[in-house]
Amino acid sequence: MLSPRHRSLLSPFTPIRLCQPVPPEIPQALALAAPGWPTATADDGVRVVRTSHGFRVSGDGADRFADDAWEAAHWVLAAAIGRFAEARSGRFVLNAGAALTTGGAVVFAGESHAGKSSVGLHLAADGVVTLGDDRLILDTAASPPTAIALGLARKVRTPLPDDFSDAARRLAAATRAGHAAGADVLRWDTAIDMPAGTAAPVDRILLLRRDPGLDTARISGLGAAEAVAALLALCGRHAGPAAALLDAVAGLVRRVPVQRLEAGNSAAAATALAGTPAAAADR
Amino acid sequence: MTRLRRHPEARATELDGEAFLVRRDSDAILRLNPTATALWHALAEPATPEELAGLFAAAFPDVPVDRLAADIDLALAALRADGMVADDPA
Repeated sequence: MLSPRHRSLLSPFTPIRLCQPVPPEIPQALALAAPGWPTATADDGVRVVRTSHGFRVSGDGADRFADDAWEAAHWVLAAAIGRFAEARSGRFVLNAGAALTTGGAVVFAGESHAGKSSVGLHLAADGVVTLGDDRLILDTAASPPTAIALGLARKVRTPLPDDFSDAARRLAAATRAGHAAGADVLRWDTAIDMPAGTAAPVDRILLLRRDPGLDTARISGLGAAEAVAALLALCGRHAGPAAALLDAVAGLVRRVPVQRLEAGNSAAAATALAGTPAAAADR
Repeated sequence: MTRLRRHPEARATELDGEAFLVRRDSDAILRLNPTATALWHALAEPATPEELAGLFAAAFPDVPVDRLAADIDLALAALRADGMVADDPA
């Protein structure tokens, strides 16, 4: 578990800003998708307008059409996340979650379908406090580099794979709050889900790789160039031009261990992630 | 023969003997393998492909010259496609 000195809440954390009038379905969808990130109305926020086919989302770098309120909320969130990431040099969005340990944030990163949400569910079933299971902001201008939560709901694709633990299955069934885009959206739990703006120093970064042939999870080191290349592929919006992103990621890799976590299933990956100190892993 | 030079907006970040190139005015990031990184180093001064092949032939005497020249042409084409090298106007 995380001791208080290892985390802080960025204060005040900017709420998601919506221009009035806001279609009533949008705050409802945002409350489901990002229960840990408050919303507010503002003249220069994201505008959501109902159209004959759904919604149009514009502002803060977004200009998208959405078929329904859930998709519109997704684009609103993308705009808000981008705005926050771009607000300060050295920040970028990473496709990753993070578990909070006494050493700081253990970031687990991977592409879509790499198993981030599944690992997050197993961590939650074990009572591990998390900063998220899908997207984080990494702030490399901070010293040490920090991972920042975005207050997004945990989600898990359904049906659950056979290799999920019983505890994870029970938790998913007991906390189901909705269903969207092929995934169950799980109820926010303030005991383990940290609100948007919660920041913790990055202890290490683990790149998830699923290998069904592995009986036990394996953590191995990565070369610096390999780590930079892998992280760049997982980055979203960022502050400044591409050169600034490269500087940020290269600087991060110089200061934080980046390792590959290979496991046969998400339960094994979660156990290895939460239980192996960085010093014990093969760097 | 046209000399090539590093594009003035391109810069390299090196890690473990490999370079990442980025242009300050674009979104492209290019990862170079160790050989291409050596080529980038050689382009610290403008050079023709033939001069570069000569440099590499001296450094790798066991590799056939034809193969070296082909590899260099390939690497230069990639660097040029991403705007990391340009013709030297001098």
